[in-house]
Parts: sequence; structure tokens; C-alpha cells
Amino acid sequence: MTHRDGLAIVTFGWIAAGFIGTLPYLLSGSIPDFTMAYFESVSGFTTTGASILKDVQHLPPAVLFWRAQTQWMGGMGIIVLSIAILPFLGIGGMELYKAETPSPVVDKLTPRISSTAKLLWKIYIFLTLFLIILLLLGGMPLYDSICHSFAAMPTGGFSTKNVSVGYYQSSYIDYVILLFMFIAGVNFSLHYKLVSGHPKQFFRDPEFRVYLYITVIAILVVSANIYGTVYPRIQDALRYASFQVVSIMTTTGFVTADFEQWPVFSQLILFVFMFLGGMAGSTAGGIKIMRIILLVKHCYLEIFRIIHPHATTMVKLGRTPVSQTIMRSIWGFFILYLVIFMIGAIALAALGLDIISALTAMATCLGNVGPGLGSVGPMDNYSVIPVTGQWILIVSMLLGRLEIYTIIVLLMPAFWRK
Amino acid sequence: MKTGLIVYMIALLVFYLGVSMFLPLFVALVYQDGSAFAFFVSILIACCLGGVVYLLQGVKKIFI
Repeated sequence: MTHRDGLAIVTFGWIAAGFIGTLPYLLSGSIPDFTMAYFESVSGFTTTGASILKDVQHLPPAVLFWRAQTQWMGGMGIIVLSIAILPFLGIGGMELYKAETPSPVVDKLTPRISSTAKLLWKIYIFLTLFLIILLLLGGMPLYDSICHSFAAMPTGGFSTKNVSVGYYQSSYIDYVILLFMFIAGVNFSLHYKLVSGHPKQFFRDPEFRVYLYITVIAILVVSANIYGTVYPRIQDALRYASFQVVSIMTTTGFVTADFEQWPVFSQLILFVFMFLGGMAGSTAGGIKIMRIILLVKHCYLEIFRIIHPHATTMVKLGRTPVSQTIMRSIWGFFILYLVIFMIGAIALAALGLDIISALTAMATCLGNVGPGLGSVGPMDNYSVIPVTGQWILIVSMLLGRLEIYTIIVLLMPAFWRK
Repeated sequence: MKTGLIVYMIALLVFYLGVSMFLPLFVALVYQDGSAFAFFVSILIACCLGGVVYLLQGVKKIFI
């Protein structure tokens, strides 16, 4: 299997998965419109969590279960799942693995890619089961626990309740889900190192430390901003701020508070976080912390070179030097991400959306987050978006999930030449 | 570009997705929410579509 075959299989595989995912919605009559059903299906598989459904609580439980299950399968990667299950995919499996999980640095935990895929799925299943048990202990019914775990571990965000996790009004449930959203935003190879007896590597990882610092600082800043203005008690401000910051940053999209009612400063922080995402190699979407670190370091080095033009410098991640090829790829990704975001937002605005809704809808769908602001806010849904706009967002979700290059490369005529 | 391989792999994926619908079908039967038939038909479509294309690709690989 060549790299081109891998890219084509992954892209067409995800498009096909979206089509198959629509069948239960259409046949059960839960979503009779094809575009809306495809939107919901792609939103599930790409773990975006953006929904066109106005009232999920009136849908059949099995349909809601399927909705959560699509997120769970899409989180670790439907192709990676195939590699894990089918031993013969070990041959050429690396091409599929790289095409579906295109982080800047590919983590190959074991010599065989099928063993790596199996290992990742074992960690994923263990964490999901653990979350189900913890939610059950918090008094959440079994069905809701499974559905919410299926949506939290892949950083999806589909809930069985109209007001999402906020329905339960339980600080225990909020904090348990918050913790697991944070865990899901961590590189899964670090989880492996933790369980394989190398816990120090977990905390030595430069990306993890930045991920942790950014999260803590953002929680404190947003808490300080909403304390007094929205919530009179500091514990409430901390609880809701931490949940929303982690939910948006890890691109999960669960909601416990209507953050549209928060001061603009907090809303702006959440908007910026829609771009960040979790760590590379996690189930989170967005640009990813690793890319942000390397971009910032590269910018710093360019400034340094102006002062010291003859200095020999190289971008490093921890103690590992990062090659120019990887840096070029990251800059390319960053520019493409912003260009697609701008083009998409302008197209949505042209379809009649207000500027806040257009910008945040595009940011959340490209980053696989879910709730935005304005008419696609945490208490609203995407049914208000015109059909053309929904197709733009479907493409954005797929681009975001497969990290742009995997799909864009298929549009190049050179890709199809022999 | 190996078109046959791409079709083969996607067919396999479609078949898997069909099989994965047994879980919500079980939920539909437990809750008796009226969606069991929809899931049953979805499984049939996905498994038949994926399975037939998969087998056809396999036959092509052996005989052609």
C-alpha cells in the first residue's frame, strides 16, 4: 500500500462512514432530511458534537445511543479500529495510521502498527469503562452514563439531554467529566507510558506541561472574570469556568452553563480556545498544542536571528531538534487552517449569518468543538444554518478531523497522475 | 493508485459499521422505542453493501 492509497482510503472511508451513519436517522424518521442527517452523522464521526436537533430528549434512546457511538468510534479513528481488528492490515497499516492521525510527529509505540492500534484502543476502552463506573457512582443512570462516556472520551460532546451535562446539576458529575475530557485531550502515547511504568515521562513532556499551564491559567482568568459579575459564589465561578474552558479547549463541547451570558472577555477566551485543541495524538481536534508551541518557538528564533544574524539556531521540542521539513509542514497547516477558516466564515456570512455566528460556527466545526456563539450558541443548534451552509460546515468538520492535508492533497491533479 | 484496494477497504469499513449497529439495535429492543426496525434495515443495507463489494473485490483479485 502506498502513501497515496492510504490518504484516499482514509478520506473516502470517512465520507462513506458519514453516509452509513445517516441510515438509522433517516429510517427511524428522527431526522428525515438527508443533509441534516449527514450533518449529524459527520458531526458524530468527527467528534464535533454540533447538532441540528432541537429536542434530543424526544428521540428514541437507540438513536441517541447510535449518535454517541459514532463519536466513540470516530474518536480513536475508524480506520485505526480496522487496523487493530484486522491483522492483515498490519501490512501497509502505517500508511492508513499516518493518514488518519496526522499529528506532527507519529508515535509508534510498538514495532508493529497493528499492535500500536490495539494498544491505543485498549487504553481508550479502559478509560471509557472507568468513566462509566464513575458516572454511575454519581447517580447518573446507566444509559446516560454510557452515552456521556461515549461522548466524553472521544471529546465529542453529544448529550442525551437538551441542556447537555448541565441537566444533572451535580458538581460531582461536572468534575468527573471535566477530568476525563482533560485526560482525553492528552496524547495517548503518554497514557501508555504512564501505565507501562514511566510516569516521570508523563510530567516531563513539554507539550503536556504547556497544555496543563494553559488550562490552569485560562480557568483562573475566566473564573476571576465571571466571579461577581455572573456567579456570586467563587466555587460556582470555578466550577462553571473550569468545565467550559476544558470542554472548549479539548474540543468536547459539553455545556453546563450558557456562556453567552458571560462577559465578552470570557467569551473571547473561549473563542480563541476553539482554535487551540488538545495535545497531538489525543482525540481532541483544533490546531493542537504541539503545533502552537513549535510555531511560537520558531517566531522567537526568527526574532533572535535578527539580533544575532550569524547564530546557528534550531527549533527544539524539549531536547529533541525539530527538522525544517516538520516546521514547513506545521506552518503550511497553520496558514491553510486560517485560510479555510476565513473563507468558510465569509461564505457563511454571505448566506445570511451574522458575523459572530459565522465566525464561531466555522471555528467550532473546523476545530471539531461543537457549540459556538450567536445563533449557534450553547443553548442553540445548527438547524438555523441554510443547507449550503450546512454542507460548508460538513466539509469543515472532515477537514478538521483529518487535519486538512489528508483531504486537500486529494484535490491536487498531481495526486491522481500515475 | 490501487482503486481495487481502496474500494476493498471502504467496503470492509462499511461492513464493520453495519455490524457496529447491533449495539443500538440491542438498545432499541431493550427500550422498545420503535427504532428497532430502522436499525435492522440499516444493518442489512450496510452489511450487504459492504459485504457484496468486499466479496466482489476478492473474487476479482482471485480470478482476474
